[in-house]
Amino acid sequence: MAFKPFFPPSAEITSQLIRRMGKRRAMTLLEEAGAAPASEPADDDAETSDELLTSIVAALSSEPESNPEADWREQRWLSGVIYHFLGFQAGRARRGGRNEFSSADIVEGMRDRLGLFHAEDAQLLEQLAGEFSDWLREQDNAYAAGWGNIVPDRYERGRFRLEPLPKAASESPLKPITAKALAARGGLVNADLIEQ
Amino acid sequence: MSDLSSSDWPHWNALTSTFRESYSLTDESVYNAAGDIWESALKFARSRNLDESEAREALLRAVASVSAQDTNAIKTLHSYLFRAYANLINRLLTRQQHYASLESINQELSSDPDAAAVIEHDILLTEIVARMDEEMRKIYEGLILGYSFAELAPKLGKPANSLRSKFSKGVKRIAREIRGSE
Repeated sequence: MAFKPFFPPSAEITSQLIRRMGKRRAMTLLEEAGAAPASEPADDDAETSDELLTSIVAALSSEPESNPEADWREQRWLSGVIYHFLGFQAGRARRGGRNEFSSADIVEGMRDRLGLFHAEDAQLLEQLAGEFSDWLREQDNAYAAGWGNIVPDRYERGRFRLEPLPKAASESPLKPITAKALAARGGLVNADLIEQ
Repeated sequence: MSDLSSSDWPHWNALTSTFRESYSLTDESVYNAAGDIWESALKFARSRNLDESEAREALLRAVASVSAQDTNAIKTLHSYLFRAYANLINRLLTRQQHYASLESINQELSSDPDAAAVIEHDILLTEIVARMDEEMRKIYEGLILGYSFAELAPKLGKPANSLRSKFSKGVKRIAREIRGSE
């Protein structure tokens, strides 16, 4: 047991999501260009603008070359998006919001954050949520994030609870509980004494 | 499994049903093929400075992954399984490289008696995090998201060595406090 990395999405799903995001952005750009107001710029400007748009769309739509370091940076970025999404939810839970979540919440949260609103994007988002569930199930009792704990449901895959930390670190409710548990086992935790 | 400390690859019948379920080991022929390649797999892992438990874990995961596929469509099971295993080992190495700062902190803490006793228990890990001050928490979040101290330094406006020292000393201090409350 030691400090453990937060959920690292696989290179495969990360790459597919990034590619999909690029395609969606390209589509949006094209749609916006198609719906542009009729006020016509000078001919030269129009030509330059079209070339620029074409090259941007081509870049966004193309398959990126695989590069381990770039892949890793994308995985880390995606991991951070999920981490901060859960942190945001934990903050709401601390202020009285719900603290029980499921894979569907990950799908919905990532759909909004990644801008993948099309029906056909759902499958990719569900794969990502599935990877997260598998990772969470491998954690012992809880994963300690900087904003609180993520506690997997032992009986239902994909369900989990967020236990936000109190605003002031000194207010940790675990303190007296853990001290009691430690004292009972000469420094080793007796899980039976830890109140839920 | 009857004896995980053994260097041998245990016989299929020696595995408990719980163990098989925990690794999704469903196909005896794939598991036995892993036994055939185990010696080479171990050498492969050791040549990359990984230990036997890491090699065993990766091979069991490779068995699970291959078992989930249509094994009749696989022409040479042994080499296919070894490739799956090698991919997992390479991923593990990549992950270790990318979380090098987190790993180095874990190693340092494991040599401190108070910290080692505390970080051994996940319930106490959560308490360590709960007691971190704002700066330690930012460092912690960076480390678990795969950033190195060098990458965090410009973001947090302090030299990498200073961040490392602050974090390491802070965790040790919190661990002593927790131990002191026994």
